[in-house]
Amino acid sequence: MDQIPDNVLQAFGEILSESLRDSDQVAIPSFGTFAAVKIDEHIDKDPESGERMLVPPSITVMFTPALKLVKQIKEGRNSHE
Amino acid sequence: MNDIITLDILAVRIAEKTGITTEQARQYITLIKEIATRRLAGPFHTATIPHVGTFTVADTDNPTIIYNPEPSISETVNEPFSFFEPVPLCDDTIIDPSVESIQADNDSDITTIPTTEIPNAGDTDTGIRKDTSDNKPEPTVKDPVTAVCDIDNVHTADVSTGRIQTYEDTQQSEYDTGHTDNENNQNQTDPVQEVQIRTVYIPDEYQSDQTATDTNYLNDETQTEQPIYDHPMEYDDRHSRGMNSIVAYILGILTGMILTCIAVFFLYPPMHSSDDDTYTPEELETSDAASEDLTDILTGNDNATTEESADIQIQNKTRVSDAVTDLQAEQNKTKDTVSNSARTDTVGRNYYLATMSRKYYGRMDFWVYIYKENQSKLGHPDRIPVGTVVTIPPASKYDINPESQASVEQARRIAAEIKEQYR
Repeated sequence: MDQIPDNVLQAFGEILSESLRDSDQVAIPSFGTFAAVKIDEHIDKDPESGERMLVPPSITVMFTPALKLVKQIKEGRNSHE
Repeated sequence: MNDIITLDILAVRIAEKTGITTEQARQYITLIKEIATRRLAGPFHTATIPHVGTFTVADTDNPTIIYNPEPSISETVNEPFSFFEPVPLCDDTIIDPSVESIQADNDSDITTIPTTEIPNAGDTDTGIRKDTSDNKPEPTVKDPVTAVCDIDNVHTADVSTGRIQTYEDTQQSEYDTGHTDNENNQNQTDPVQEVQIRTVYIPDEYQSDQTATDTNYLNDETQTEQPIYDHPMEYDDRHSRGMNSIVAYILGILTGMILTCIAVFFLYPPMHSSDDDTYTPEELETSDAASEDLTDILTGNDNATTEESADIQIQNKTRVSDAVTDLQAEQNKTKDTVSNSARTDTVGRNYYLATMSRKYYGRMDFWVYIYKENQSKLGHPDRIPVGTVVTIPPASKYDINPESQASVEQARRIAAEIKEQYR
């Protein structure tokens, strides 16, 4: 990543966050897709106190890899073995 | 919104931000991709892109890449729900176990891109599979205003439709209790301890069997609270009113029948017996007829043949004169006292033997002598048909004297004998 200027990476991050905030998906061919996902409120237990908590809804970022990336990972794993 | 930012669009935006050309931006993006792919396929199975995040391969057999975005990206993306905080649930809060299934069903709201293999996947493969199904919802982020959890209320599911189940919380609260039920308001007399109502919305399709405490429910259509309709008295009122009407009908019918019988009794009285001394105005003859009989007596134009009858006739003349005087004084008097001549008369309606007796002899008791005179052609004395011609015997024949008590008693004895005969 040293070959890439920092401002480009920073711009890339900013555009990614703005797009996800606007509920847009960012798709990079042969790599994957970034998408914003809403997690509904749910009930969960506090691991420390064991108390039941109502977790509010939230939006997270989910990355879906492309098939080519998955294949390359598999190939790399096989090559290393 | 809900747009897909492709490589070209991304390059243009990066070029605008950084001041480089679009082609350079595209090249930089391709370089980032190659470096990340090489590092993920390497022995460490992890790649970090500054200002973007960290990618880690979780399962080497079935590769799953876990993406941890930069905190800045997480904060920006989660900005609509940033002020939400987890809320601890009370111990007595009852959660419908079917709510978990709701959450499981709501997973479809999560935007997931399946990693299914697609033939001919080349450089244009971005992992996005266009969904042609109409059922899959588009990835959206709900308006944070509408998705805000009310701190006073605990929502476990969609609140558009469903049942409200309220639970009382004895914790002190600075908020109003929110009680709308009058009965509950009466109990809220202690200002120190307030009762906070927690409402739990449960969709209709996941409602379990109603508990005994659930007495109110929301109408799905109108969303208004409807109390349970219970008016046992209404059925009793209807039943009693029906019975009262039936009793009134019966009483009315009976009253009508009684009144009809009374009217018939007075309008059409029963047939007079021989001993009945009463008479009706219809039985009275005109004064002309009575005077005619008297003149016949005075002139001797009767049918008397014996000497005894002649003596009687003389005796009767004095009485007749008095009777004539009375008759002349009373123009409407039609009663005939004594007749010494046998004459005939016809039985008519309301004109019986007793009526003839009163007419000719002055008393109704002497009907028996008329009956005896015509006994051969008469049957029962009370069942003489109308139109029967009877012979009226002279008073002297049977020693008829209306002023003599002995004569009257004699006539009554004969009447008893006749009735005894037909008993």
